Amino acid sequence: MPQAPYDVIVVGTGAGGATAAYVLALAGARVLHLEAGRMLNPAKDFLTHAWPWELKFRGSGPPGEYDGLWKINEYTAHLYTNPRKDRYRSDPEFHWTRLRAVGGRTNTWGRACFRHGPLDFKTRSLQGFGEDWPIGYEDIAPYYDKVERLVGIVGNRDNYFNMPDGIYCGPPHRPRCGELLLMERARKIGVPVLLERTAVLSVPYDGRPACHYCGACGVGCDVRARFSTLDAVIPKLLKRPNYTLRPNATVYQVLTDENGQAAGVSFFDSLTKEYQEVRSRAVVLAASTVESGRILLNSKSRHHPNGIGNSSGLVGHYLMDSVKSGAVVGVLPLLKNRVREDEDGAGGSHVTIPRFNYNRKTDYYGGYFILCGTGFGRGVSSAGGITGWGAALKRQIREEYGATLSLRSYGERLPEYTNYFEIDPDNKDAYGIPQVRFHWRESDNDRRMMEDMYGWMEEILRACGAERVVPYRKYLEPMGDATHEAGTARMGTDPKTSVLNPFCQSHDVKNLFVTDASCFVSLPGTHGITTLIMALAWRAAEYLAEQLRKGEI
Amino acid sequence: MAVDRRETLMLLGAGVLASRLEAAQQHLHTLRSRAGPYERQFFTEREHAVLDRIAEMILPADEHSPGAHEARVADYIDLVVAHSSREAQEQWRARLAAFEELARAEGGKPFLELDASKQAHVLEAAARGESRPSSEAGHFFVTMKRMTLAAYYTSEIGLIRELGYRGNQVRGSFPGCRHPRGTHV
Repeated sequence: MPQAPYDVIVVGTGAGGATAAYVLALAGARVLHLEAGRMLNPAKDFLTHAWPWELKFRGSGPPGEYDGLWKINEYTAHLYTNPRKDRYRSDPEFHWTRLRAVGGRTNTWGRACFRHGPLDFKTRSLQGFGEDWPIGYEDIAPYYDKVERLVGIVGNRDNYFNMPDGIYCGPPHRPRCGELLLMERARKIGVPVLLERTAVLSVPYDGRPACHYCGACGVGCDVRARFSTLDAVIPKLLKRPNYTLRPNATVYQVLTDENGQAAGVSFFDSLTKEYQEVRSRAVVLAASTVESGRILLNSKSRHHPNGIGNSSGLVGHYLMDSVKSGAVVGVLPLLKNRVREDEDGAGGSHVTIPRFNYNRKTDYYGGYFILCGTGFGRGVSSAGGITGWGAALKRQIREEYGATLSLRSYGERLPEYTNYFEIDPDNKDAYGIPQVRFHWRESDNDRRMMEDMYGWMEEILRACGAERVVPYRKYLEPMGDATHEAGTARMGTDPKTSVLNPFCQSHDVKNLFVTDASCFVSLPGTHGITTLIMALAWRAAEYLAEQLRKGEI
Repeated sequence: MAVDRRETLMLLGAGVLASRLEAAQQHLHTLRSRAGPYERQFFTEREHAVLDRIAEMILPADEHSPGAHEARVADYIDLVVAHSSREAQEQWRARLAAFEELARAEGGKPFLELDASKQAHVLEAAARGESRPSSEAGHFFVTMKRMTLAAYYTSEIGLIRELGYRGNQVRGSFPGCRHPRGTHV
């Protein structure tokens, strides 16, 4: 048999894929990096500085166009997969946000980089629910170090319980008035508020400039001041002779040899739809949790009748996404009628309320963090609660502009077998690849946590002196809305109850790895899963590189 | 994007490549030059005039800034409805008709032919119980108000002149809150 042209094929260029490719290429492996989408040019593809009135639909896009996927709008629609053009089924509604382009969802991610702590990996033994990870914080800590140096994170060392401090390349971004108020007031009712640990630079780092505080990170940064694999990893790789990037390659299946081991992948050229096969000694899937699972399940063969790596039957199961509340908005008299200032800052909040229920008795498992929104932004979030019309309405909106504090909670979702996706054989995409369909339910734990979330959000607003809370209803967003999908090829030591081993290696197929959030065993209420994905991917890729070097793969 | 010379120099000092800034500026220029005069797509001239009048009543010009009329709110509503589903379009027409019926019932004439105080009376009647609208005219008011706010505060007049938004700039640093510590306690 002729030697494979590549040592490793890595599928996907987002957080997990780019990290794996980076570690493998630096270790000398011949890497072919496949990406379903196109190459992006930040200065041209990101509408970082566009005004709403410069866009036809003021930034919102045509009514109803994106099926409620909030990240997709007129600023970003050209980056994302339109859910109406590549449809999937779900019961009930599941929000699946897909970004096929070099850099994947790191192009428009939330950028929070708080570390998960010791408790988060030992869910069952230390907290009494879910499953333990087969690794602990001590296994992953050195990889967090490496990842944080690569990413460039600014933050404060807070010595907060179960959320270890990391390595920060610059000072945190300074809080806006509303955030400072929140820090001072929430403390009085025992609610901690930490400065954001975020992958938006406050100082030049790694050849990238500091943030220029236009606040538009969420639509993509034109100057690369926030980390994305497109801007901070792929350029390093493209300089190496042992690295090949192949955009516009939509992977269909993992190919197998006569022993059922991975032999390479098949893919469709995304532009011409031409079918191609390419061989390698090992395959790393990091196409996003759902897409990696889809590839595994679609890779059926004589050796793998249920899909490759799926002898346990668990691929697609234990699907998780953060339990996400709606927003609760309060009007704070102390901030009314302020002199206008530019409060855009680094996109998103400069503070986070970390999980704070450790010492409280709760009627649910797990915990949650709360994000806040304040400042003279581009919206009038208080307006929803003001009745009437005319000069008085206009004046009240003007007075309350910049005086609102908006809170939203993101909580731990327990892993449940009955939350899952599977192949939907009757629904094929433009390449003829069977799509997935989703099944999930809100659990009693989700509902009880929701009650606690709304109770605390309202209490925090009151502590901040809110004179008015905009009317809201208690509900949870559909699963997937937090874009933290995880858990559907979970790691473990027992091949019967897990899909991957602690190095993200398939129990069934030794030269097959999955290095995105598929491998997660739990999804704690800690702000930021991207650097955890990257740390796990780094550790897995290092292990794979060593196996290749020793000739064991 | 107002980048003054001083801030450009600061950015260059911070390592932002001049070529990237130029590319971004160029891209914006292309976007901006696309805008032209708006041509009505869905509502009739008369319906459009009614929407325009109601929008201005909801968010009127005052000593502070122009209102919904000058911000061309009715044009934007027309654009959105023109791109909405057929059901949504029919609902807009039906509810607008219900509002006109209310005008006839309350003032004896089409809305636009009423004097300002009668128009205010009709709008007030439609707005009654707006947190739980029960009539078609009530639903019309709620939808119209929501759309007017959305259109006005995403217009240059609404966001910059009325609210005084000062962001979407290129800054060399971010000072954060400048109030003395403890001011908020």
